Amino acid sequence: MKRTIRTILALLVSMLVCCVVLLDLVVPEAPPRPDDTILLAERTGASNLVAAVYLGARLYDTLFEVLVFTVAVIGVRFYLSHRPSTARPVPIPESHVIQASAQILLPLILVLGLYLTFFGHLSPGGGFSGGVVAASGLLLCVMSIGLDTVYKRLSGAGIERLEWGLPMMIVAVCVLPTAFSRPILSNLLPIGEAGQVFGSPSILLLNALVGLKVLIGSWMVLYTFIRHRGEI
Amino acid sequence: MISRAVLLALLPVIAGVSLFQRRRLTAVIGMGLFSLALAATYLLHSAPDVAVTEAAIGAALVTVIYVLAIRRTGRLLVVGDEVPGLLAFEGDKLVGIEVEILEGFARQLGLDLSIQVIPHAEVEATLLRGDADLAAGGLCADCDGRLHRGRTHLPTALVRLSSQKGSPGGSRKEASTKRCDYNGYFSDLVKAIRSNEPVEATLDMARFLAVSRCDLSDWTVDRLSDSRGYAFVAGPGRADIRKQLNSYINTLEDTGALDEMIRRHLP
Repeated sequence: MKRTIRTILALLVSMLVCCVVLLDLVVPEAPPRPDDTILLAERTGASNLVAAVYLGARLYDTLFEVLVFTVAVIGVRFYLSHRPSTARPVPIPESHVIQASAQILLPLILVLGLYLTFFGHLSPGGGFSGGVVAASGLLLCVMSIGLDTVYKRLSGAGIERLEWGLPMMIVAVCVLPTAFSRPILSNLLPIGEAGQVFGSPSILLLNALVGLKVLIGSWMVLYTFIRHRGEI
Repeated sequence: MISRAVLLALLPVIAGVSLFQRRRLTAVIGMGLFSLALAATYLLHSAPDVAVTEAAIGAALVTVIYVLAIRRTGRLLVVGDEVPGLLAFEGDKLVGIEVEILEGFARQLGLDLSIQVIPHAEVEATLLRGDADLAAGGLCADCDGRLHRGRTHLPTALVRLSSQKGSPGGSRKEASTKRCDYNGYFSDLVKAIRSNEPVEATLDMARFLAVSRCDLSDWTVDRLSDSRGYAFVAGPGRADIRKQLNSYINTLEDTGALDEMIRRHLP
């Protein structure tokens, strides 16, 4: 009874909020493209302006986003490493239906992750989302063939060193232009034809590094979670 | 335009509904649904980049991490062997007084109940290993000091059953029959008794009543003198769950629901 009243109350409140939103709803049309953005697209060679901003004009911000992500992964590993880890192999819990469908879905998900990463400067996507999509593909893989098999196939501890190395490589890509007497955080590689895959190689490189970093970071978080709790 | 408005209106509804879910898994799924609706909203508001990230992180990864986190804590894992009337299979569904009590208790805590039927002799070891939260299934004896025995919800007694006719329960046997003891599952024991295999077992009242439907004319049946009661047992360090369960059973008793259950399952 109490629960029903609460649910009805919640629904009423939600409806009220909806009414306010609906009454006040003035959806802005997409703003006209100012000239600056066209300039930005030409300067970086990326036709996806979002990528042009966060990996071109505002690369400084992105560096700190990578730092935030790295700190989050370190935090998870630090706090979970105090919990006892299970030595026995983690069992595969899912039914045959999920195992079989995982085998079919996994390549598609990985291809989507790769596409999002490598075409991030041309279409919506980018390293962050591509890396997360690929990591959820890995999780599906864990459900179908087991955590230990996936860990072994990813060559175990080597991947942890790569996880530390990747932020360094991203910083290197940002700093290296100074070696060629160009300003820091500017394009490392020369710009090609706009709208092509290799139209903005610097952004492509950064997207690939960020994508790999996010993939390995998310995998490490999931792996630590499962390993120290002994089940998936 | 209309789809944007509908999605925007849907967002607080989904958020509100998932906020007031008692079951944690439903709440997490509601959160994932919210992320998906939010991603669609972003997409319709010309922000496909944010939409892709929101769908990948909010709807997929965060949901999975939450599910991983609640997988153990969001579940009440109970082990025990079958007892007719208390916890027994009817078809492939477990029914009985203890099942009903546990279902209500799990609902009160907002947990998913999962009952695993294991051999009676392994129940205590499973609890001590920490592989289960509670033990059920006609536990009527004193348990290991590290475990927490709850309050009695049904009185019972122990009965010594022996296939050798005329052999009285000697003092040596008496010592080993302070508790319900038989090997394997109760269903196997019933089969053994039906096929007249030599069996010696100490059974509680509910199990004995089920066994007594077989022909026991050639068997020795001793009723052991002390009276006992069925109770749930919580694992080591789970005094909190015992306290909550005791107060839940007290409420059941006060409202008369417990008597009603007993009348329904043990006619």
